Amino acid sequence: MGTQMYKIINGNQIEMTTDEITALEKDRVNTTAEIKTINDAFEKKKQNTISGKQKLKALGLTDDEVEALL
Amino acid sequence: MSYIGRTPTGSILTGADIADGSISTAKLADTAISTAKIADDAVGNTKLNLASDYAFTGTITGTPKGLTLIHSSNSSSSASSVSIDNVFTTTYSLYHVEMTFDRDDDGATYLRFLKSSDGSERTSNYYLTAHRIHTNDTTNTTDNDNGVSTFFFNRGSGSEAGLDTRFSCKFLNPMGSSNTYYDGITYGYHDGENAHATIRVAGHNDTEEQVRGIKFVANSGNITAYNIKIYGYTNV
Repeated sequence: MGTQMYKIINGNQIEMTTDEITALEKDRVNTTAEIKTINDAFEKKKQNTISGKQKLKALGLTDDEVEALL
Repeated sequence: MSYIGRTPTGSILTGADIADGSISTAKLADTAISTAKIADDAVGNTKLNLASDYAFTGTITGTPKGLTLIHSSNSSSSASSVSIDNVFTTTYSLYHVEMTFDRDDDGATYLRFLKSSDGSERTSNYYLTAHRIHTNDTTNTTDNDNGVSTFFFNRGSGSEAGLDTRFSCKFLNPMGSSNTYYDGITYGYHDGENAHATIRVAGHNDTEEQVRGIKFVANSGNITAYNIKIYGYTNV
């Protein structure tokens, strides 16, 4: 491992054990996968908003009118 | 008493007949002056030194309400997680958290409960809804996360590390026998979005168990500084 890692409990900094570091790294892999799912959904909504605005503008709506609808 | 000649005529004793200082405090019985004989305005605030300390040793009855500070800690040391353990008790059912913290990257920050049974992390059954607004555009985004392993509530500030992220939340019923509820708001800078972001979340953990603490975890890198205060609501 080589690199020291720490945790803080009630204000006290404590060096993590090897087992704790292993558990944290495994946990981070799992949570990263969950975060990817959340962010993918977020990005999809964001892209849908952008493409929806473009389509509305193509129909002749002004920027203000588009913003008012969304 | 006997008299020679005429009996003297009785007369009412007036205040003027009593010389100043002739009646000492010791000559007054404890009950000499009843409450009814003390005027409402007898003791003005000029007779009480409001700058003085008064030692109150009695018991306050009734139902006092308000916030009681039950935990305060801060650190500028880097750590992958910050736990506040043994902070929830059966004394309070509702808690308020005020926190600022810094991250050294733009990874996620999440929050977990610490089980009352053994202090370990609750790693499942989190449900939450989130509403995100970025200051660089008018896009309002909502997310819902069901049955996930944590409460996700923030991303680090990235290259703008050093800017505080402000976090404020409430927890309801952590030491009760049913679900624990949570609602919070986070405000901080995120360089990936090139804007400040407001994230409003509300949720619960669907496991009916007591939880005694909370743990903030950096999903990568470290939490480089934090300052937290936790209050209990009295008689809500």
